[in-house]
Amino acid sequence: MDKNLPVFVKINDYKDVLNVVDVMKRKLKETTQTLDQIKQLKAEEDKELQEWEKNVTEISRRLAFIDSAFFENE
Amino acid sequence: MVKKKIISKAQAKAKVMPRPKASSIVNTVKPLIVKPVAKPMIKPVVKPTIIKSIIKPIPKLVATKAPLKKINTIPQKESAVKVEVKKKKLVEVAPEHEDYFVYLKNPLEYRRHLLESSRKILFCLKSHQKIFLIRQKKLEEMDKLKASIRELLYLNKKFNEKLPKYNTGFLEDTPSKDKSRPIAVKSAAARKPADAKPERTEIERLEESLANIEKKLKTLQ
Repeated sequence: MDKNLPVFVKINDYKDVLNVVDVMKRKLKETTQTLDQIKQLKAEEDKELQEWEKNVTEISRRLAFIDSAFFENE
Repeated sequence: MVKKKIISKAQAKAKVMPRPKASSIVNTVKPLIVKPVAKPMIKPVVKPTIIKSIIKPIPKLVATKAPLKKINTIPQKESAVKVEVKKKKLVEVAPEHEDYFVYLKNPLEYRRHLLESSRKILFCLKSHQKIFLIRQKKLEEMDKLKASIRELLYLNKKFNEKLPKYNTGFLEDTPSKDKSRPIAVKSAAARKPADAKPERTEIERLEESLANIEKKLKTLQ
């Protein structure tokens, strides 16, 4: 049989299908927006984490300096 | 001669009266003399020692007339001992390290480093708070996304229901036994095991639906 057979939809269901498709479009748009928001939040989180890491490195460096200065007397 | 004649009457009497005997005099005088009484033994009064004034009574113990409870007494003793021990330790340890100092070069630099470190720690805490808030927001957004996807799935299902039901068996190259069976029956058969296992997790259900879709896609190819 031919795979490219035509499909016929009942006229009663056709409007419902159009409505459903419309709602799906709107939902997809919302979903895309939410995803963008999450991406943005993730980027912010990554940035904060990087800042955090930088600060921790700085603290450890300073602490090492103080530690060496204090214990070189011994 | 005249002088000799003038004598007092008492003198005249004395001349007349006989001289009393010594024994009679002793007898008359004896009762008049107070006999010396033997002194009683008097104990020497010992003055109280000054210890009373030196050792001051503990105010708590003097004040409490009521008998002390067992629960209160034991810890008091223990605490007293501890205090003594602590005091002893302080007295013993303090003089050893009291007079020792360590010289530090550039104290301002150390102070600056310490302050910088404190500042960085505060920045860290601040960023931690920010991350916490961001994650909360992210969770909220993810919940929203989850809800949207569920709605989309529901709409998709509805959309599929509205489309005409047709048998996909004829699209397959290999002939199958269930060719003649309608799709509705297939879907019902697929639902049965889902009802039989209500304890499945969300991931399992999603995996199953994914497998179904993949299967359908394969048949279309």
